[in-house]
Amino acid sequence: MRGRGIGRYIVRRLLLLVPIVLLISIAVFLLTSLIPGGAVAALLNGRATSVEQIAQLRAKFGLDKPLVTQYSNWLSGLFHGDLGRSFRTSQLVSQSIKERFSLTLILHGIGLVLSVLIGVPLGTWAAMRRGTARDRGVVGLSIFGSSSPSFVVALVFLWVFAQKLDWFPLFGAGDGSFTDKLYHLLLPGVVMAVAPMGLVMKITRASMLDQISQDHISFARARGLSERRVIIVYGLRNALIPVLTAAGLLFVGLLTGTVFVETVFGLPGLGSLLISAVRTSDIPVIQGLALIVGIWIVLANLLVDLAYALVDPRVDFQKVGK
Amino acid sequence: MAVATVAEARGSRLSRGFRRRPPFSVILGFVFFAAILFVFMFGRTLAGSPYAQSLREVSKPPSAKHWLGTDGLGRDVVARILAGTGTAIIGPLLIAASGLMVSSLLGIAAGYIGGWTDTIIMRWVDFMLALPGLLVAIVVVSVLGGGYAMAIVVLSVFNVQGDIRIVRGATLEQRPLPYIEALRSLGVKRRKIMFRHIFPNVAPILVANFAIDFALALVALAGLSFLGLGSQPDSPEWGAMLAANQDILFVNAAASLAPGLVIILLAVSVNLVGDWLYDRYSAPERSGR
Repeated sequence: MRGRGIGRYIVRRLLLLVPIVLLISIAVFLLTSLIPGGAVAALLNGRATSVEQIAQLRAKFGLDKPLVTQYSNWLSGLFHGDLGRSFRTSQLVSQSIKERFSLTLILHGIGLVLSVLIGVPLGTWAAMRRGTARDRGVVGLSIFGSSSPSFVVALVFLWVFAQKLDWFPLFGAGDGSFTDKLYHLLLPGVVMAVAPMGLVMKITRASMLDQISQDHISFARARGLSERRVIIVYGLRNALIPVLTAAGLLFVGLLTGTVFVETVFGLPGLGSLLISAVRTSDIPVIQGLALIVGIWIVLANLLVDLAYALVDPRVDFQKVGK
Repeated sequence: MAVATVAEARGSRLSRGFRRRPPFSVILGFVFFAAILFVFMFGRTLAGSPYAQSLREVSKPPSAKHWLGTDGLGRDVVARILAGTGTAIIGPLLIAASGLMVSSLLGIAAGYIGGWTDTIIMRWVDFMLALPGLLVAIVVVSVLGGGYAMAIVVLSVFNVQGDIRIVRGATLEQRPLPYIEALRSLGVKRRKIMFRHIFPNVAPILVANFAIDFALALVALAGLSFLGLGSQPDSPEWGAMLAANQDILFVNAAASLAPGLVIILLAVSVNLVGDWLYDRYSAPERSGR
């Protein structure tokens, strides 16, 4: 009966996007109204202009209207897929987000896949060898990984793998062909994976240790099942639930990681767009990105909750949310 | 064999609380943290000025005179790293301290009072935990200004939720214990039970949280300073040094990588101590932070 009610559940969760998007947009609008000198000062960025030019600029970007009107204009634009134009480049915000989205998505993908593919097996492996030197090694590695800021790891990797060993390109996102792009994004992707990998390792190990001492594991062993089957089929499945709980944290960590990794490697993604936007107080771009981040988080959490159902048969979508 | 492993796992969990001496790595971490504190207090007398320039020695690799070489403006990297301990430590200390205070208030209240108090506090906690605090800090500090102080405020606001959740969990474990029941039947006031009796029992967890918060805040603040936010231009800050010396990464790698490694070492040290405290004083179910 696992799948029943899942459609309605997804719809209900997607409807949750509406209040969250509203909340985020209001917060960002209030933030911009707090800028010293207002949005016009951000728009001018220190350049001297005549009063007429200021008035013209205000009219062009709709800044001459009251805040509430500005907000409702932005909101109605949103429903038409229009996020306004950048203060700096006059490019459509939706356009520049669209152009840069895939790069960030690939980085997230590499980071997520690597951190799970390495973190879960290593964490399990360490738990099975509890107290040995290998176990302590994995624990040390996970603390080291989760304590290392991504910009430091990025610089170290850049120096070792791109400069000293010359395995990877130093800079940029490649010439556009898919394989070249992947080649350019592999090293940044690995850097993205380091911190979440430490977290995944640590949680997998802790919850696996917890599982190993449970009665159903002793019983499975008593039945004479192979150790591998006991661990993977009976242990890991339950041990993964706390890992999933932490997956929300993982997504937040990856979001922050992109900003630094794209900055160090000079990649044109959403993270570097955010940095250039905040440096120049490019409010429409910041608003658009805040929106994307909000939607991203809601969708990621929805995916996590759906994954619960795959791992844990007790989850019943007809009961959830009532 | 298999049965022995189970017994081992059970036995060691029982005995874990009685093992008094911390492992070697934890001692090492503690020593490194103490060394950084020492440098923080006496650093000015240990090394030269972080601003002294020697234009004949620009971007030099490590030598006997300059142990980690010089940066792009001919300044000694060691002196700048030592001078940077102040900003590196003060911010994380403040953030961790605010986390400790707020979480011991709200965490114990949520866990002990329960009901609506609990629901409201935990809804807010869940909401805030879903947001990327560092990204918010990046936007707020760069758009509104306010520098280092603003960075500390924003990061503090996003730091307390994890602590509250853990303190609440520890309080829930205390709640059904006989001493609480005894206090209640004696008619002791709720506030007194919470802060005179539960507080000392969750205090070790608070200390562990303090260490873990410190490490997180250290990395986050260094990240902001790496992006050029929250710091005065040119001031000796580890994150900013990393960014500024990125240009001479292939001439004198130490100028850029050494501050980064110090950040990692300090974060690892504090995390080792925090994790050890945490494992010692908490039930295994909660150790997966």
